Amino acid sequence: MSPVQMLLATLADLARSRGAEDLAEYLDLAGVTAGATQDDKAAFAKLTAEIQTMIDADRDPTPEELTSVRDRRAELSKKIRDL
Amino acid sequence: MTAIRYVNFLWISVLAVTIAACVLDPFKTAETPAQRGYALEASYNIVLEDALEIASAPTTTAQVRDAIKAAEARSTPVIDSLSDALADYEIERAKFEAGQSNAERLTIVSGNLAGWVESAKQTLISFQAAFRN
Repeated sequence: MSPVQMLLATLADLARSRGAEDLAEYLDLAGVTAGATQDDKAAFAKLTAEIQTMIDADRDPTPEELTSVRDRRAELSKKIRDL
Repeated sequence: MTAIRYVNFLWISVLAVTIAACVLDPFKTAETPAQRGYALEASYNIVLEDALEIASAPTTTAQVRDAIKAAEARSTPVIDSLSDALADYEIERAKFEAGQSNAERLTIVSGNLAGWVESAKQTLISFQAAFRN
């Protein structure tokens, strides 16, 4: 766990103990990207740019984009299960 | 004393949101239900790539590999359900725009998608924690 992730996890616990569930969840999600490797950070940045492009074009993901992300998940999932 | 604690908590909250804002881009950027669903699905793939890399490494112990496989087996069905809900939403929205559905039906499908987005968020957090901690 990186120092930033540890800090976010601590703050999420604190927020949860004060009943601030929404904030806690937000911080937990932040921990996902904070714990990313350098390669992952580039992938998250690319994904962010992709979503920003959708927003700029005032559109949602296309059926092809949804199929592509689903196929990739199935491929990765199978590889892990076959290990 | 309670007031001081409350102010401290507020400051901590501001600090926390500031830190989170620096690292939470895909979720923060998405605006529509479909974009949020897509952001979660694609983020799951990024984390899944990591899981595969770690699980495949020759130095990884069987215990860690089994833990990753178990976490993946629990997580992927939830993300698949999100994906199904997203597809249903897109179909219903297209029907609505073509005048072949009504607002009530679209609200039901949209609520279903929102529910799966929430479940998928927790799944993503748990899955990541299973092999990065």
